Amino acid sequence: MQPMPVIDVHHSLRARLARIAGITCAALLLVSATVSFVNAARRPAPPAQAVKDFAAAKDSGEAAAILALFDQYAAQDDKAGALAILYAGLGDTVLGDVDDQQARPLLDAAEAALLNMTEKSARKEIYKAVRKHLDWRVRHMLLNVARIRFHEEKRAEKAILIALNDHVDAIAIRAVEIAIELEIKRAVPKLIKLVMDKWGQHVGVGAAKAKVALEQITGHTKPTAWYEWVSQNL
Amino acid sequence: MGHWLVILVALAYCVAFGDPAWADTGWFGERMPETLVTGATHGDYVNGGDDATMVYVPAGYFLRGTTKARADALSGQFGDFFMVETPQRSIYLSAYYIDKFEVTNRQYGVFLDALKAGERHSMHPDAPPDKDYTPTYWRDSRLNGPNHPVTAVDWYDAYAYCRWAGKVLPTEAQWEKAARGPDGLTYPWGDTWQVAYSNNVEFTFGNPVLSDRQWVLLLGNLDLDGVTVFTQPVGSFPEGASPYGAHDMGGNLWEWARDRYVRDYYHTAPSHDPSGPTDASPYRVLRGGCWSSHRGKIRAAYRNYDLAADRHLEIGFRCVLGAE
Repeated sequence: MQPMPVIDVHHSLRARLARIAGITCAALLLVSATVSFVNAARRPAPPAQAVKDFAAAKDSGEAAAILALFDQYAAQDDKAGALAILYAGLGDTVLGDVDDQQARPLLDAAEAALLNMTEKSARKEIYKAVRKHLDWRVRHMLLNVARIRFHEEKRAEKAILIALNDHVDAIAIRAVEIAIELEIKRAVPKLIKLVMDKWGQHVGVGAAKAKVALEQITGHTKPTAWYEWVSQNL
Repeated sequence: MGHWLVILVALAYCVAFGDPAWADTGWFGERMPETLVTGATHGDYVNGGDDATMVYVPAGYFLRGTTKARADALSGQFGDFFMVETPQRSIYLSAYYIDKFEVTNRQYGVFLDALKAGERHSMHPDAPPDKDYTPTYWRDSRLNGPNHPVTAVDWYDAYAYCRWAGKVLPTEAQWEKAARGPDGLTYPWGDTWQVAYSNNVEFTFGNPVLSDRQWVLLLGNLDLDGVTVFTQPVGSFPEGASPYGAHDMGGNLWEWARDRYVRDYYHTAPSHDPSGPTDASPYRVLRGGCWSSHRGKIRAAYRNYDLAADRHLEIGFRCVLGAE
């Protein structure tokens, strides 16, 4: 008679758990990779012709050629024109190796061109880019477009409110300054969060500016009064 | 006569082919990690990974944190930010080396070049795979001088740099001991405030700032475009060096620590080599104050924090290397 096989229950359970853990990890990795891919795909893409145009203008070494393209695409006054300026004219090919001082005239010209665009879908892309553009200098310039259009469009306000949470301090600080200038009441809950939570024990300029913004908009200096103001005014 | 000859021959042999441990002995008789060599100045070491000068912090106890009475007094002057430094306790740390200076733009530039060349092994697993490690103000001439500390780096940038250089970010406790020595100095240089010993808000703007209110009004109304000087080149304040010889531990830039930030961590932290809380806090610790900080925050015990993915023009870092 053959001996009964000894089954190590714990070992088999461990092996099964390990297999489940392995499959779960693989599945999570797959989901994460898919999400990254989808996010990358969601980043707005400029028309192919615009990419070629701006690359050629950059290669020519003539800043004027780039500025002329800004005007040309702005005159199109549609979504494609906005995408051309935002992601080809202000993309890595043109601005990638440009220092902040050299970038200034290009950004100023782009801002003027974008402000001339009135078509709804074009403007929508501009406000989206306040959140989505990878170059913080472009996001900073676009915030100014939102500031100028604040009284015309609800979307402009939304773009400024979203910018308060930007990971780059220059953007968040500029959004705080705009909130002060335009006395944006709907910014108060976000400003409270910045001061009380996100910017810790006062990392620095951003926190000080957010505090000044709260004082100017609510008329109070103490956190308890800010919370009370929110419950009464929003 | 014969035995002297034997001894001489033996000595010559040892010098020429001796135990490599001799060559690995540091300034304080300690055995150095392989990547370090002693520097030209007594007490200095040079790390092969990034050419950074480092200083040695021997094993032993140090006084961490602040007493409740002192925290109360500070809160009265500068606001309710100081109770997180309590209780004050003696903490034991194993020996380590810490960068003498904050990591500079020149050093960080070499790291960026390495990334471009495909060396991407040092990244934190939570960092996005397509993350751009270029600091925000990399092309701003007010901040990108080669000897200025690299600024506007997030915690993941700092983590990746230190690992690339064969080092790690300091724990909060390592940072504090390196800044204030074993006896719990208030500032790296001593217990008395000195405006000119660090790059702080009073040094930067030339006004005394004696309360949180003054500080908020000064910085809250600041036109950043009009400011021409933020950071100072590393090592500009030799009088402000810490007891172990680390510079700019007070001011210039806040520095990322490895630990997650939990408010009450000091109440539960172990007293031997605390490695930070295990809570899933989204915040990481910042220490040391910066060019925009008042004297209450330049204190070596001050605890600050920010989201790991945030980049501010007030934040940099330095690295540490464990000693045997």
